[in-house]
Amino acid sequence: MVKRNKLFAVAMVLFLLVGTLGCSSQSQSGSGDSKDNPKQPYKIGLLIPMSGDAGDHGQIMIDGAKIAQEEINAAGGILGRQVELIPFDSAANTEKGVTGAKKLIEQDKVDALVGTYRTGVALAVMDVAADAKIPFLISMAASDEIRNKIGKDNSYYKYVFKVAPDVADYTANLLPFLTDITKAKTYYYAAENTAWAKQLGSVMKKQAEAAGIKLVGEAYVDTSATEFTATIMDIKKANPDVVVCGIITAPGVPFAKQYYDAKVPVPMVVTSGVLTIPNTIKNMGAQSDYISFGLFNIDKPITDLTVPFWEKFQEKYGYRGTGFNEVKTYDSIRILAEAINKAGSFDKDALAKTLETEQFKGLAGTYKFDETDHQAKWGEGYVNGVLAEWKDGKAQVIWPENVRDSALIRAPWWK
Amino acid sequence: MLEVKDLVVYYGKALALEKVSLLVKENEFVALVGPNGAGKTTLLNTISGLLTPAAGEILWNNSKINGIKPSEIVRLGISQCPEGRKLAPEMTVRENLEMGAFVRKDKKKIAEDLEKTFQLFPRLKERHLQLAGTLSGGERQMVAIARSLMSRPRLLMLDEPSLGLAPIIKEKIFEVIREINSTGTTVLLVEQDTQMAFQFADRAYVLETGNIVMHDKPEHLLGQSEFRKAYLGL
Amino acid sequence: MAFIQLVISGVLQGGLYALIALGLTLTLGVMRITDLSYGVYYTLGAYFSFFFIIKLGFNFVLAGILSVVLAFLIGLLVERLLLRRIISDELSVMILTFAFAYALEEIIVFVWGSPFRTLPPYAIGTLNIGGILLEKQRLVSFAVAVVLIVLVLLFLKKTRFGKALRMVSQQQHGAYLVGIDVQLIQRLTFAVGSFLAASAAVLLSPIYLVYPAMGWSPLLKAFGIVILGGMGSVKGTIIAAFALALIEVLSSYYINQSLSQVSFFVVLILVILIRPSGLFGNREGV
Ligand SMILES: Nc1ncnc2c1ncn2[C@@H]1O[C@H](COP(=O)(O)OP(=O)(O)O)[C@@H](O)[C@H]1O
Ligand SMILES: [Mg+2]
Repeated sequence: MVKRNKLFAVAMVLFLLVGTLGCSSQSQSGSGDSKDNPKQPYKIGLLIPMSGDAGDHGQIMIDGAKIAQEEINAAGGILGRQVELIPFDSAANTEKGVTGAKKLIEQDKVDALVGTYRTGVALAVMDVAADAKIPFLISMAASDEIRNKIGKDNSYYKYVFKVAPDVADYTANLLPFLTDITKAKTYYYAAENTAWAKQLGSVMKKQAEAAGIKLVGEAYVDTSATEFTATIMDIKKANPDVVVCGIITAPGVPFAKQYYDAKVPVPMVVTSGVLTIPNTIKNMGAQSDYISFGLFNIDKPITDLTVPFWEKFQEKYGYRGTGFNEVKTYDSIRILAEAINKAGSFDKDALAKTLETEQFKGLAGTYKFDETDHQAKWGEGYVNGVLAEWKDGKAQVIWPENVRDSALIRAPWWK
Repeated sequence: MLEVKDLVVYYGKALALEKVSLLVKENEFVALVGPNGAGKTTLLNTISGLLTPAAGEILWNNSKINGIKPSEIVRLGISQCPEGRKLAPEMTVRENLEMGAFVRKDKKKIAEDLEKTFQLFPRLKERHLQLAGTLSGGERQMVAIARSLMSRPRLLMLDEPSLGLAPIIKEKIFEVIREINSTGTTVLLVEQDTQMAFQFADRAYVLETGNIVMHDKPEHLLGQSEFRKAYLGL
Repeated sequence: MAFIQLVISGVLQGGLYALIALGLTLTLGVMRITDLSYGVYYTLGAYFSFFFIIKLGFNFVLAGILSVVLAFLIGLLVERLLLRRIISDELSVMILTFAFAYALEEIIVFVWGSPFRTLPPYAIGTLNIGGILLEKQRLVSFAVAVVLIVLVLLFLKKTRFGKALRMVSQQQHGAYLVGIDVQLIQRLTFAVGSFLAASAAVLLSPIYLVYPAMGWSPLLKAFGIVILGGMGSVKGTIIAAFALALIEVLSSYYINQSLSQVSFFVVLILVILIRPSGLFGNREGV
């Protein structure tokens, strides 16, 4: 009796495992060996989270990637080869990311990899890609560990480039909110207790201090926290000019709701994550009002590609992009195609050379990679972001001034 | 009334009852004795429907009842007062007794029976709001017996009711059992204290390692020297 | 003043923790299994109410009732089709319930997609009583949770099924012998647990947010609470739930905000070292 039950359990578990693996490998296709044959599609493996706590982002990335794919194919493909996308659910999990990269390289025989949302996944997949000599464009993982790792051994990571912004770029993007928009002298940093948020916090502090703005309080809340009375009381006690919010996963929503309900008299700007996503905001009602946030892109004429892309995206999928996931994925694929076309051959070293020396237009500006650490450069003339504020469920662009919808909309209870 | 025929019971692969047959007649007081680990509790639990026999039959008024759910067995009128009392520690004495009447629906009669029980065990009436887990051993045994009566059984099976009790309390418990029997309830008593059990029993069975090795009237068994040597140390 | 505000916030949170943990403590006590899929019913409750409110436009009362009834029915089915076959094998139960929870998460992603969802609050605004802030939504959710908890306690104390449930939880062998249909009680209790987890989700989804993996954190907290309170002890569970909430909010403010979860588990470990059966652990087999 007991034995049979055990067998039954084992069978069920195997069944479930096979089921989950089966789902994610549906998009498999035949593996041709003659790689440079113009009739063979150019296969790009997309390593993106479609489940797990960052699962929210995966579909948006795919949607952005598909537009890039269509545009490239309509314009004749990559040196005549049509682009084929092969997504793999990395679940924002290092182990799955590595398994996925290996599967994409060995089974699907992809020509290049794009993706990874988490730094940990990127750091692990970099090695897999470098070993297999497969070009890997890191589209979203931001930590400066990545560029440091490339910088230390850029002959090994010859084909790895970082389209994603650097940590310092996240905070550089927010800085105008403190300096120009609110003219703050002090700020409070409320964030999640994660390595990422801490890193962001320390970079922010350096940039703010350089601009003469003082950090007057910090909170690192647990990622499973749901009650923020203590945080809000601490903010009130510290009485800053601005709250910088680095709570970017699930607790962001209850925090923002409680922040709104407590009528804290201080403007808040969010670094990234859940509170910048229209889908999250949709049903929050007034509780999302007056939250400002940094964005890497929005439907404003940042480059001549930007507005048409946003319109196409909205029309095709019926929802607004986030300005990050779809944009960075799109830009990565576009850069890859443009670089090969510019190089005029599928030779990987020619590709690496082109990526290192040329400039590439994307939705978020002009991409120029650092020759040593392969980080896309930030600032005037390169890639740049925007600041926006939620009001009545809509993102109002408040920065930069040349493309903004309005000045900062002030809540009646702000000091 | 109850007839067990060639019953075989296993725990997994371990044989616990090899081929046990036993008969209990209406209004009888039958004792079942035997050393520790002989299978006495196993037999009662099988009759109660907690264990499924591998072979053999259990007949209740000539119809087969093995394979029936424990709750149905109670409804048929077979009740067990288990070894170790098995009370709910965080429920009051009263609640425990009420649980004994779980299979009955006649609220009024249940209330009457509760009163009768309290007459039988005045001690429990005093403590009816106390949690069962806070009672002394003797009191717990009283609750266990009283509870097993609350289903109005026609056959009451008691599994070592005197275990661990002081001699005075032991006597009191046995007197109660005798009284229960004399008011028309058939009794099947499992007991280690053979001498005590034999004072009351009409007939007795001796179970050893899963087999009935003797059965007879107590006075006849006492007359056999083998039996006396093994069970009374004489 | 700060202290009062913190305690009030902690109590409001504690009521909901108690509701979540109550379902788990009943299930664990009656089933004697380590059910790792308890969080599933929390997730389902939230998704159902999201579906009824946002997709079908139902009002939140109707949506809430439908959600918890559905969770109850799913609990019945899962007990019958999945758990019943393996209930005697502790290891299988752990593996299977974990696999089930994981699979269900994937199913939810498949059916509803992975994006974060939010629900509008149905009680909007904040009460300010002498400087103490009370969010109306949290107050309403707390009040409903307390009513549900009181109903469950009355039900356990007064009804035939409630008493049978307690008996099965405290003394399973005895329960069989008095003629309780133990398997039926287990099935219904499992469904009641599902119902309670879903109710908590219905009450919390306008405050938190809804996403496929949302059930794991309440599962962990509920287990912590049940262990602290003592397996199977309803009273212990409720006290431990409030203790968890108060420890979280007070340690956040007075010690360090990143330690809110750690503090609770430190307390939990200390209590277990001193009293392995938890604060109000059951005495078994009297
Ligand atoms: N739950 C069980 N699982 C396995 N073996 C058991 C179990 N209960 C009893 N046994 C074994 O069955 C035999 C009979 O036990 P039991 O019926 O309790 O004897 P008694 O009541 O006469 O002392 C013993 O060898 C005992 O070890
Ligand atoms: Mg025994």
